[in-house]
Amino acid sequence: MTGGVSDTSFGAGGLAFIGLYLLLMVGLGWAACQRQAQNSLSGFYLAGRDLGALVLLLTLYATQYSGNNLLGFPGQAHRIGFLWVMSVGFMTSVVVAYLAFAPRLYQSSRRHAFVTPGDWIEHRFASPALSLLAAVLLLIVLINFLLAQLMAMGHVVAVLSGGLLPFWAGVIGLSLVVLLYETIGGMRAVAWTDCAQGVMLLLGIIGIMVAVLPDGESLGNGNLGNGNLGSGNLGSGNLGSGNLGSGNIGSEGIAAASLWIMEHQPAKAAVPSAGGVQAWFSTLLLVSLSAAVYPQAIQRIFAARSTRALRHSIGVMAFMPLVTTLPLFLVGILSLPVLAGLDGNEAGIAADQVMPQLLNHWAGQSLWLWFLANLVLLGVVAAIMSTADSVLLSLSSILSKDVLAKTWLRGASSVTLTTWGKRLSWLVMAALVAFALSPRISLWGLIELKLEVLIQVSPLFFLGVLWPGLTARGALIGMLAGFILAVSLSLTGHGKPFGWHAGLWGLALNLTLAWGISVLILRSSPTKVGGSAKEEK
Amino acid sequence: MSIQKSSQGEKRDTTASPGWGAWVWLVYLALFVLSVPWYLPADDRPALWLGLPYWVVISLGAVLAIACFTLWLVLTRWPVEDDAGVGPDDRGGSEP
Repeated sequence: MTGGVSDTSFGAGGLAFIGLYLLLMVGLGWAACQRQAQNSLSGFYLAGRDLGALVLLLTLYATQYSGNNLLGFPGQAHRIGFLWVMSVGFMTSVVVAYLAFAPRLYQSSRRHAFVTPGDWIEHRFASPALSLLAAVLLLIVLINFLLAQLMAMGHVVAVLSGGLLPFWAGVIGLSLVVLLYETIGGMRAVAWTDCAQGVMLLLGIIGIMVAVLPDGESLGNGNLGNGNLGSGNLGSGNLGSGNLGSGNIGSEGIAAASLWIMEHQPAKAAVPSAGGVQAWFSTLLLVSLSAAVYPQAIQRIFAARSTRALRHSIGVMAFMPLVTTLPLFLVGILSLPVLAGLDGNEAGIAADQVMPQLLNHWAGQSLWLWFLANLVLLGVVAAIMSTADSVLLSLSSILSKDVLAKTWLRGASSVTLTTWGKRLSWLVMAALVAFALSPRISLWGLIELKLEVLIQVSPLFFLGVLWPGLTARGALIGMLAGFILAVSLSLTGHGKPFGWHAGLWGLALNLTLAWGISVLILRSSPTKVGGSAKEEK
Repeated sequence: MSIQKSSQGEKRDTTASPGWGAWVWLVYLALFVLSVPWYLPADDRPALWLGLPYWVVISLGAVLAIACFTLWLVLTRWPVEDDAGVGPDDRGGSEP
């Protein structure tokens, strides 16, 4: 969401909503602080490895679904049509990807008390150079991700307050709240607030569906009151073809929207072309292999109370795309005729303006829709904050544990490292807020790079767990080469050579080098199995 | 959970952690390939199923199958072990 949509539809009421919500977040953070002393690294960053199944599920959910999902996914569906159903599949693929390494990684984390993803890398490969490079790449990804959340905070608060609060106030205000509850309560506070935020997120999505479906229904009846939806378009016989499904309101609304799209923008409903199919496979691979190794997600695996809690959480997570991504996709589809009717432009509007336009449209319709629109916006705020706090906590842990503990603070106590981690959280946040407030800087292009970078780290987890033969040298050279190739391609405007994402080309080079070098090393020195004395099977 | 020494003297875990068999990944591969409609003929006006173009419903059906398979897998094939043993905490920083 890059547009600052200011509208007086929300105003003081919206401010009251967000005020109450922020008070709740700080209260939860304070309650988490009272729960236990958390000055050890695992206490502060992993909630003492004591997250039960429900809390783990909600914190995984709230962390995985960022504000970008709520704001960007309907826009993408609006832009490319039904092809965006791929989003449901690729969000599910992330959960499947966890299964490749999470069970064994969790067990290792229990035995060896991992706190950061870097602990696993150090344990598995025993290579300071590899650990440092991985930490740098993960920090690049996390900083980009956090910056995106900060900018989204500013835009959403501006919309929610009806323009009463400016962009900068949203960025600074929400950042302070996140810092406050995170500093006092660590992972436990983040997890507890994530629970509330996960519920808000779900309520927001329900709000979206409740708000948008009447539009679909009225569309079916030709009641939207604009020329684009005249009865001639919808009464062409398609509606009477018996294809409307079960006949309930939702299905009828969706069917009417589908028919409108086939009538006015048929390319968005057609069976995907070869290019569309290739983009689908490419995105599926990119997202599944990269999003599964987000540091904040891996740390939640470490924080699970038990195997039972972890497996239950992952099992339910597999269904969350169907109750989250699918409704967002449908909102984007249903918005096509609605927004074409609003602006008289069947070609549609900019993707990042779809949700703001819809929300403003609803908020001005009735008190009930105004309430739902506020609920949706609060869900967006919750999604943004729950991702921001998790990313910040992960970033802080990597800085203190993987960087400071191995350089300036070598041999420092756990309490000292935790204290420095908290201080670094404030420093990093201050620097990123300054970036976010600079109107000259547009980092969206760089933010899009994050998956291309992250996927180069993924072999350290997937292959590191599954293939004992992967050596540190092979992994290091492969990761470095893959990173350079992926970023070079992206920055030179070759984001999808031959239809495949640049990150996948980088990964192909990464894996080829990692495999080739590892095999060569194994052949020349067969006793160095796995390249590390700490090898995990 | 036991740790044994290999012939080269390395520590190796002989844990019963779930190493999913190849068949699991073949099932996932088949379902994901099914979820992408590469096998369907070009059609600008696809029939509607449940109000959506039929290829969208097929794709969603495959995703639903993936979710159900995942739930079944983790509940029945992921052994619950004794998690009591946690190693020395907070490596990289000594406790006060």
